Amino acid sequence: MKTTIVSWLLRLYPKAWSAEYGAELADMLRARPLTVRVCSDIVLSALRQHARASQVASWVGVGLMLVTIGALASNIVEPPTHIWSPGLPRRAQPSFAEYIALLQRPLHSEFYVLVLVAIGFWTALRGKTSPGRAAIRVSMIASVPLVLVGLLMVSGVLGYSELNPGQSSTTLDERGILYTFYKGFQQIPGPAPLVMLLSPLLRLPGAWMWGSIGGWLGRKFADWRRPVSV
Amino acid sequence: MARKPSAGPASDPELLILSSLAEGPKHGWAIMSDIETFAGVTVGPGTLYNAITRLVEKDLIAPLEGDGRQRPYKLTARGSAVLDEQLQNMRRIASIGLRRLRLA
Repeated sequence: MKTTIVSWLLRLYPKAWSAEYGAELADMLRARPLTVRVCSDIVLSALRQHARASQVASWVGVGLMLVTIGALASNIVEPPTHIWSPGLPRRAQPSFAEYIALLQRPLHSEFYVLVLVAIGFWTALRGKTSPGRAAIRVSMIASVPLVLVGLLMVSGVLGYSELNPGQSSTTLDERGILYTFYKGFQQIPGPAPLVMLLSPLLRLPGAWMWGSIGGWLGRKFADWRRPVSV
Repeated sequence: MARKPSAGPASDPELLILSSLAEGPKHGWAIMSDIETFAGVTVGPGTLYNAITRLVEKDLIAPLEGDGRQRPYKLTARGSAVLDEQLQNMRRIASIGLRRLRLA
């Protein structure tokens, strides 16, 4: 029983770390009582090792995931009344509220593309993995809330509504828990629950492309900075 | 998880490990027991190996070839210098503090 618990605890560590220190730590854990304090010490220490081993792309992905969670939550609690899209004709300078509305769809916005290009650029300069892979990692981590929302929608826990221009936004008080999609100028249909669930997969080729573009820019920048030898 | 926080700066796991290895090479289990004996501080196994990882990365200690699964660790020349500097600093601060306490 103790051997099983020890092997489970060791699985919490990054593989590279376990290969180096796992056997020693396992020996030590088998030789002493496995108290709650010792187990919690191991869990915390494994988390620290993961934090040390993780790449910049993982942290950027977590940051973008938090933005996505905020956006989804604000869309449910206080949906936007309309969305301004930069590619479309607009009446005047977009208001502050319209910019906020744009932020409520972070994974559809130019902000998302900029993050992917930036992580590709950074990875080409400093990282050990390919820029495309780093961007895919960011995209996958950032999309986790969308998968959860998709699952809630498919299972019927979270409702869904579409708004036409001129319609007032739904609120939590009036309609219960609803994810609202504002059709805006384009009159396009909102994403179906199943599409929401699978959208992270559909994003991967785009993420790879933007990351690779950032990587190409990063390599060009590195070449430009490198001193020319005579 | 270095218990006995009342030990203050002297309960820092890295400093305790370096002090333990100043006596000679030891493996993880021996380091932990030694720290309990000389400092009265219980360092958890996860905390101990996290500190060992950092010290190896900083080239302050180095693993030796061991028999069996437990590898002994030894203090490097750089580790000796860093430990010496830290302990001298602590001694200087401690003596100033004690002197001021007596004057107060």
